[in-house]
Amino acid sequence: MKTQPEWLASLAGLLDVGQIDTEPEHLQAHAMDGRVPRAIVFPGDFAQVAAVLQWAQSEKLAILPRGSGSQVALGGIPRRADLVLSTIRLQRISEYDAANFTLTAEAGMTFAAVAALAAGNLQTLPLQYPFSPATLGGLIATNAANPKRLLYGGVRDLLLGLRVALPSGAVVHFGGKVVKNVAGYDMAKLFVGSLGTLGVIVEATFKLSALPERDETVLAVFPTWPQAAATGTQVLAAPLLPSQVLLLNAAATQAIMPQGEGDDGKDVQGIRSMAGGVMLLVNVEGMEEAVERQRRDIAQICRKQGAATVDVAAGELQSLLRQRLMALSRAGELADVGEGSRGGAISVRLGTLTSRVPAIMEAIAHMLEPITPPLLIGDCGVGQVRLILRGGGLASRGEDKALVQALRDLPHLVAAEGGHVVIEAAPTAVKEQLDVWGPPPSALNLLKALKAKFDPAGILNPGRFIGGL
Amino acid sequence: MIECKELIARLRDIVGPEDVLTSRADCATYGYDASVFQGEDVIAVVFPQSMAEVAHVVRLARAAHMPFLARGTGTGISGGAIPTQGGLVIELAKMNRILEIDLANRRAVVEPGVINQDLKEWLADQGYGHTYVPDPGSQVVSTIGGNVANNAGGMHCLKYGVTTNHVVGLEVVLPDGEVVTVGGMVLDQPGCDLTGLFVGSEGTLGIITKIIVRIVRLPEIVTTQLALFPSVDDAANAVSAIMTAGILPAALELLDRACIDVLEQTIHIGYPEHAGAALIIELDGLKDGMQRSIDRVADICKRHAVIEIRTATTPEEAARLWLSRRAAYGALARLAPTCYIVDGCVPRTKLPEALAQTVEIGKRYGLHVANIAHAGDGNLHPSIPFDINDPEECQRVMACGRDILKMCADMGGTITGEHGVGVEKQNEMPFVFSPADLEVMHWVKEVFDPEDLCNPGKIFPSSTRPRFLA
Repeated sequence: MKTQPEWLASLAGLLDVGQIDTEPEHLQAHAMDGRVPRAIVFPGDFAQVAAVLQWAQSEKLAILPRGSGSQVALGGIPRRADLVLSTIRLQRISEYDAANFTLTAEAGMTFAAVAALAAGNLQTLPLQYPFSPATLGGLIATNAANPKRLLYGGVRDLLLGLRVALPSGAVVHFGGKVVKNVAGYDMAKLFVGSLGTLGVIVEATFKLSALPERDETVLAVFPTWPQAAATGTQVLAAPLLPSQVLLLNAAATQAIMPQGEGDDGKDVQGIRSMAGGVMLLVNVEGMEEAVERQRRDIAQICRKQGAATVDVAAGELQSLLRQRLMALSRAGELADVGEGSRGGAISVRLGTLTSRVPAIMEAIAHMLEPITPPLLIGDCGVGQVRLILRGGGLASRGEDKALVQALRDLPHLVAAEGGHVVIEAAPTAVKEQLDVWGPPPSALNLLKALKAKFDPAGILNPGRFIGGL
Repeated sequence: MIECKELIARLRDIVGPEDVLTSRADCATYGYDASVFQGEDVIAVVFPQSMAEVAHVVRLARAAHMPFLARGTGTGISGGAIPTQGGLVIELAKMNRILEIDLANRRAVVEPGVINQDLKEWLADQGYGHTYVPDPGSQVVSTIGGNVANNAGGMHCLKYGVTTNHVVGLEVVLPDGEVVTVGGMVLDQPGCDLTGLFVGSEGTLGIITKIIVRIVRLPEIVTTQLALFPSVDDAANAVSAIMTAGILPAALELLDRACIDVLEQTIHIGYPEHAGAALIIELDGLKDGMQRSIDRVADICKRHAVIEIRTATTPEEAARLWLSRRAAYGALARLAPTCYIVDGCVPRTKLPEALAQTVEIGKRYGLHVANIAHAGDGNLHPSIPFDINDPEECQRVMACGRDILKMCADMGGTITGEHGVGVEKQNEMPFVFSPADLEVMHWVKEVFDPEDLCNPGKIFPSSTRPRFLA
């Protein structure tokens, strides 16, 4: 094993001095689960990414790829962390073919930048809220949840092509720019959700959509949970085309209300609140006539089920709500929603059948209320539940045996339907006591064999993925 | 090493004697699919009726070091289901049960041998108001297993996606005989998307024994318009303008003058003489706003020199408007004993140029080319009538197809939009992939099938060429 000055010297042969950061403060800030890297590198093009990977493979140094770091908490504790490989200098637009509704951009480009670019042509990449700070590479590697998946699909459905740098030093390209493409294996799918463990994504091609004429959110607040849950089911059974149907428990409803809300029944910026109220949030978008009709139908369904209030949010108010929803889902950024400390926050993503979302939310609440009150957001159209346990209040979450056991037990709730639980963010002390990915899948041996081909020396995110890969 | 006789005896033990065919005539029948190629002699054709039987057969083939491949109803036209290295054909047509429908969660679970159209009809018969969307041209005959293996397309791909956007889970018998499940009823299983990897892998990574698909609610309203244009350019430009206006049609099908001529000769379609292109536009969705969309489409067509627009107001009228498209292949078949259909894809805006090029390339080879295109997604099907009994003409047709695909690749498209690589286009893979790309793709094959027994000789470039139909 070379000494640090030695390997830094050989690394300097691949990159400019300005592309290697060894500032102790910066290294600390880029630590992952307590593992502090020895350098952060900023390759400027695809060849440099590949060169760094190839070099790291020969030196047997562990690489932790990183975009904007918005989902960096996802994954198990790294076995080693030598270099953080940042993609933030890979921000070029390779090709924006507006006429054909495709965008090819480098992996370090943020989603917000893509959204702004597309909006200029009345287009959108309907994968995240437009202000998402995540990078394109990060969205793919983490298979980030799409708030509008119900209407537009997930990362896998909008991704047309991919370029990846491999530890072998190769930069390879899969897929293309056309929607119909069956030339060879759909290799891009392999990288969706792979958490940087098979290669570093350097460029991606996505399919864009036209910006809808209207985009509105119906917010209905119910006095009781069963009413809200039943309404969600009814909305999905109706002949409508919502882009999102969310069920929020009372705690989550409270958390996303704009700051400064008053007492029961007082209006704040057009959304009325209610103590202990449970919110159903339905997004509809498209042509003006269709949105109006859906808004009416949904409001009617909500009132019939006993909604205390039904409001509609569009424009700035809708954007504010979405920012709060996004902040809520990212356990590390909950300072905006009224909680002081960031430490100790836990964010869990559960997958289940769409019909079971309300029941699963109830079961989680039942399990966790005695320990610590959960915030729950259920995506009823897609079959996903987000569980958030806010930071602060506990000196060290890891010492809470009851909490850790409850987190370990979560997979049982969704096992029967083949669901899954991923703890997307948690303090290291909690990660040490359980597997954030839950029980390993039936295809684990295949994942291991694929890993052995793509990353034979195991330098990419070692220990952070499923099965400790 | 297992002897042939013993192998057959063991196969009979696994699936029952009536489900093993060994006569030369029977085996030869399963050496063809709908492509212009034929396979080599196989030892036997077996008809398993369960996952366990499939796994057992695969393990046996492996022990005998014998190549094997899965087959649905043999409708593929790239040679993906023909046994180019002999061995065993595992025919899945008897695994044709619809196992489960979960309407609340919009899922259907089917065995691979279920015919695509049968699932649609069954759902319609139950009055569920839901359907399975992917509609490849072969849907009346092709199996869902085959559709999944090829990532089949169809006419509704731009708006609704291709097969992979509708498959959420699979049960697969791997080439070593182990069984694995990927995905499931629930979306977004953590980890790499192995379900997505299997879809479109053309039976080379394992044999699919169960498929979980999404079913979706039927649209509230479906409208159909037929627009006749002076030229393909006008029609294609109208398509682009429709898209840029923010309208997303469910289907956009284009026929060129050569097709219209044949349709006039055969079924007297009665389009105006100066119509250079026919465009069928289908819009669907909620009824609110639909009339405005229809009007906007008509306006856009008028701004692109449209000769005539017909709008259907009843299902019967819609069927009449669709007639030219539905009858096109049949009409072309009357021109010559065989019709070679190329399956290129280009970015949509390049379609007019690509279509014109196919005709030019055809002329270079002394061949007549008629074009049917999925205008919304840039997937073109140049169709070349020829005599398969003329070896020289066969070579010209293949060379013509190859040049067309090179043209598509160079325009930023791909060499196959929906028919698959099979044996037909394996040596055109370098048009779109570098040697490094192909090497890494081959790693996947090596992981799943290190012994190269599962539908070997497909997809990747090869020096051995398959035989043409005799």
